[in-house]
Amino acid sequence: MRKIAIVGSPNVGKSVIFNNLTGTYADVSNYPGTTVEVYRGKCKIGGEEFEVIDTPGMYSLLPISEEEKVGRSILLAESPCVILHVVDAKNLARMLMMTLQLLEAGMPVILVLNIFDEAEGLGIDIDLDKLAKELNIPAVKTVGTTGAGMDILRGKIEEHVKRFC
Amino acid sequence: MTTKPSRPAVALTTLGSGGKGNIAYLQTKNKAQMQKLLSIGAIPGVHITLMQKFPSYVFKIGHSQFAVDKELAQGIFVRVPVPK
Amino acid sequence: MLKDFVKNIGYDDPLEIYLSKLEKLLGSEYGISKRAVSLLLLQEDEEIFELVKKNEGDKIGVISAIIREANSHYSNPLSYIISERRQGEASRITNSVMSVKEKGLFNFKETLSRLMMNPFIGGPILLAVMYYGLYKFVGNFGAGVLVDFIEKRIFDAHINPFMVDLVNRYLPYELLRDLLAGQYGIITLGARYAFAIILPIVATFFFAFAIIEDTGYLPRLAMLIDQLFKKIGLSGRAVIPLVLGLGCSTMATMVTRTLPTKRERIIATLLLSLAIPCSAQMGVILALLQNKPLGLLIWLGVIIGVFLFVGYLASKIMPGELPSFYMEIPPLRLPQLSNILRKTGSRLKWYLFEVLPLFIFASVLIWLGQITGVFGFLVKALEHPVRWIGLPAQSSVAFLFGFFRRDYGAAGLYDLKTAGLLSGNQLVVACVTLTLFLPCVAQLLMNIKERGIGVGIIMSTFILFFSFSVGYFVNLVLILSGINL
Repeated sequence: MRKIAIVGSPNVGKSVIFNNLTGTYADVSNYPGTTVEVYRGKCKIGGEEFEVIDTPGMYSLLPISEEEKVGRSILLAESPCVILHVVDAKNLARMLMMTLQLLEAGMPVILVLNIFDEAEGLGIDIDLDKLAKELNIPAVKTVGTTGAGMDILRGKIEEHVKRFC
Repeated sequence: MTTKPSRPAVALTTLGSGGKGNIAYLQTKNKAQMQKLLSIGAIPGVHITLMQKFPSYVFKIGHSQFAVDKELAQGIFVRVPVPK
Repeated sequence: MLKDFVKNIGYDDPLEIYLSKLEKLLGSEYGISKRAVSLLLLQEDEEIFELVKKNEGDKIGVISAIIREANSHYSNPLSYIISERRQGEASRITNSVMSVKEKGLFNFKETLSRLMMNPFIGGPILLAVMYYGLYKFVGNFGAGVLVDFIEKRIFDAHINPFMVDLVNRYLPYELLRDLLAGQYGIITLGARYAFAIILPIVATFFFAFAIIEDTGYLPRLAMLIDQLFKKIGLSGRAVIPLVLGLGCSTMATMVTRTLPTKRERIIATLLLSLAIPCSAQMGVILALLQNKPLGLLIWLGVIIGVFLFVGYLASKIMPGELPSFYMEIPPLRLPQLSNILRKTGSRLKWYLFEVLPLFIFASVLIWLGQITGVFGFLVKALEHPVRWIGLPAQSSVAFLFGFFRRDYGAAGLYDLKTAGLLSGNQLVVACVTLTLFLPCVAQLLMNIKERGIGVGIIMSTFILFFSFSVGYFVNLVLILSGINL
């Protein structure tokens, strides 16, 4: 089964996106040799079933905590065919630093600008097409708590899988 | 660990509540502390606003707020804009 | 596929030169671009260095030399320079795609957030949260309404008589009948307590906790309490497992894993086992002391005092690095019901499968202990310390029970109270001692699992002696000051 990994710093709503993709059933287990818990679930997109991994919160690929080490190990060891980098839309400048790191590493990223409602509430507007062009990867806006944008995200995942996996 | 400043700057802890400026450099006891500051986005160049000093230091970078203890806060050096 | 996604940022020339030198030396496949590996090597990442050492064999000498040279070339740490460059690029991109229309200045959420972080108002807010969240919702609704309903309508009315009947009809042996449906039977007492008393209380606590968690209140509490916690060897982050411990200390002990240093984990585990009463226990203690508000205050005061005192001592004795505090303060958010239900459900599921079976097992142990006489022996042995703190000998049963299951212990005291065998003073001393007493069997096992058997045994031994010593002193103070509760 091919894998989708969800990556991002804490407090961006990763687990809500995870739940939107996988539904209610998820397996929690410790990453081997550590006390860090990793959530894994399944989702079906475009007729294919994928394993979805919710990695522990990561600020950077240079890990400080054990959680971040595990997050990086998952990316290196499990070769996900698509990585959803979930970010807090209103803090794009800070969050893009990690996206750039992932891209330097050549990882297959789809940028998910989550909690978009709070950004809009602050009067923020983001040109997604321009952003996607700058980074050369798909960029989707979502509001995890309402489910807005999830269909578009699933569509982008399907396109990506067809082209690259 | 110190980074060399280009102009004089003051420690975040010397500002009053509400003080703003741009981070000039970081000065921490060890690498781990520097990593922590970098990871939350306290990077030279970014604009920072000190919101609170007691009982912990709370500052705002971009649209996010962070709380740190005095030791970490002392490591952030800020250049305050000169009033006209 | 790597090639399709690689997007490079240019760094300054000396750095670029070092990067290309390293890239040329890396022969193996790493799953990520060689440039990324080189960047991590230059920033002295230990894990990546070990990986490269394993893969590149004797080239590691040259690689190490390059890393050293690069680091000494710059006056600033490389991770700093690299982060700065990335931040520059990230800002450039953001500025080109983002536009902001400044909205109005008044913001309710912002104001509420400021209030919560204000040390003077934060205190009353915490009390309000404790009162409405814990006392009213968990205490009155959970421990009161729900427990009554499940216990009376379901167990007393249907399950218990059914089980007793079934057992009497089909099980020939008195012994087995007792095990299942006797006074301390697995079904009639063990399961009844587990499902009718503990489960509703713990479920309501988890629900309330999920609400508090999702609003973003906890980081604000952590920020307020950090300086105080530093005095007991913890950082503000420890507030999360400690508050969770008010619901179930076993689960909270598991959550101490998130604390960064070993020293913090041990201190937090000790405090959880000693001075943080879980919801099941608190429910019954509140019931025991309900008409004695002064007694309740004394109980509260002693527990808080012990918490701070032992924490302080532990932080002085234990070697290790001092904790650092840094935490993101997320914006206040309105909790989503679906999220809350999901979190509560998953915690309850864990509880149902990991903790409750231990309690049922505890009932079996008690039954075994009774028929083998071990139980009677331990009860007699406990009579001495119990009398030393001024309690009647009969209460030793409550303490022995209290080790297996907190609720049994407190319930045992309740029976003594209704039988009029405990004076007001004795009741308070008993409550204090029982709260401090050994963690319940589930928590003890979790302590051993998380901290190792050595630490587990030392902690338990300390707690055993300390709890009775505190009981003794409370009793002494009450007698000497002539207070009669």
